[in-house]
Amino acid sequence: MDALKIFGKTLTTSPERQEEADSDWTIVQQVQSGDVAAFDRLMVKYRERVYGVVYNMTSNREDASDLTQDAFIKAFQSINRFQGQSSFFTWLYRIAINSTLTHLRKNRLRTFFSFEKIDEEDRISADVIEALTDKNGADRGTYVHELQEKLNEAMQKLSIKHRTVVTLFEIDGLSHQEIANVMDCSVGTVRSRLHYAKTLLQSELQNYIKT
Amino acid sequence: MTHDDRKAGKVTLEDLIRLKKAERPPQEFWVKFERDLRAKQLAAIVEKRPWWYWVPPLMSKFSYLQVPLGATAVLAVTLLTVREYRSSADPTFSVQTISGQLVAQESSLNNGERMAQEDVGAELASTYDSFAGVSTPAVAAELAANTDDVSAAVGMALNGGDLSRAAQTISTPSSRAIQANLAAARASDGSIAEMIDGIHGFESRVMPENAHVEPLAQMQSPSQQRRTRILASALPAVSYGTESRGETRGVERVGRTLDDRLYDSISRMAVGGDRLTLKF
Repeated sequence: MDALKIFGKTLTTSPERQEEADSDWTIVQQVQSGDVAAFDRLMVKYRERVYGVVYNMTSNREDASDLTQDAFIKAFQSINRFQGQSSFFTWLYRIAINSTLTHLRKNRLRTFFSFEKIDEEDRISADVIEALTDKNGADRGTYVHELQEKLNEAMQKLSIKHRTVVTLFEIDGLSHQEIANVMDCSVGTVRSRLHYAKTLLQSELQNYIKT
Repeated sequence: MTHDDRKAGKVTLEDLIRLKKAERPPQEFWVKFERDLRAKQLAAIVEKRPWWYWVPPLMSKFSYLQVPLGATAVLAVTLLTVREYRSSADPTFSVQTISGQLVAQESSLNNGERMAQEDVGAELASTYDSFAGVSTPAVAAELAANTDDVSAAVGMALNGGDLSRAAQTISTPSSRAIQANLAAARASDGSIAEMIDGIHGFESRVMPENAHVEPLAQMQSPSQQRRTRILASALPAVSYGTESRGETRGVERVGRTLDDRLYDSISRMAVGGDRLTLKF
């Protein structure tokens, strides 16, 4: 049953997503009719998700903050051109990812990273860290920092497009179809990129994987 | 991977990647974020947009016309290129063109073909007519006069006359000026007249057509080469049909010196109407 749910999630947009898209479209129409303050509701709703995607692509807090703000500015300036052919969050994600890709291409040689702290109140991350530190018996703080660096190093070895696909699927939880809509490619391309990225990450992080 | 699996110490790749999701900024970060975003929004309202800002939306409206417009542009460029090429390929009048035509006529005679003098004259006249149509009347009259000279020259060649003499009868302004200067030089100075008469080679500028010679026939056998070398060293005065290098160089040097002196003398003289000017 779990496997079927996951398989279904990869193919189509879920009903929750559809509901979300409909409510977003209502707010967009209000903004287009002149209620500029309604845009703030959209901004508050999506800022953490957009920031998370951009941060995981750049691995730099300051750049992620600037790029997220730029994405919202561009969306605000172009809101009248949005005709509802896709969902608002797909359109917003596309603006944010294209801006980030342009930024990464321009600053290809710059390798300055700055990480956010891992929120250990998150249950999944707390379990993972506990499992890893118990086995190694290492100092928790030092180990977590080392793990972060190793994860980032492995992600940086992926190309920009592979990193984007991994971020959107594994971290943001989008379906293959939604990722294909955001990145303007086919579902098959999304699947092949994801497979390649996971193979590479598997080899890089094999010391931390315990099955 | 379930909570129990993680408790048991199992960690998958997906778990590790999801650790990155737990990398979140604190709440204070979002206060600053909102403040910065407001400032950027206000700046964006005041910002002057470039003139081309509206071009992409306009172009997206007419995106269905991309293929027809592109095809039209390609067709227009092709037509313009063809037209330019045709206009630049029109023939122009020149002495070289006439000489080339005469040589071509001589080679056609050598191949056993004969053209009537009237046909050649008519052909050349039609060439001049087409050129005269775009030139001034004075130039057209000059060209008409030259047409008669060319026809006469061709007639001489066809009737067995020397092609070089035929070429000499073509009168152009430059050739007439040179002839006048030569006549004046002859009349003024006897030594220059002897020099001019002694110079040979101007009438033989038209090179005869090379007969086809087998390459192997031009090669000398080793025994012949040896004989030539021995006899050349023993009897330097005897010539075997090939001039020595030294002799050829000497003749060339004399010719050049005479040419230089002739040109110097002509440049110092000027003939105009009833006056002869000499410069020192």
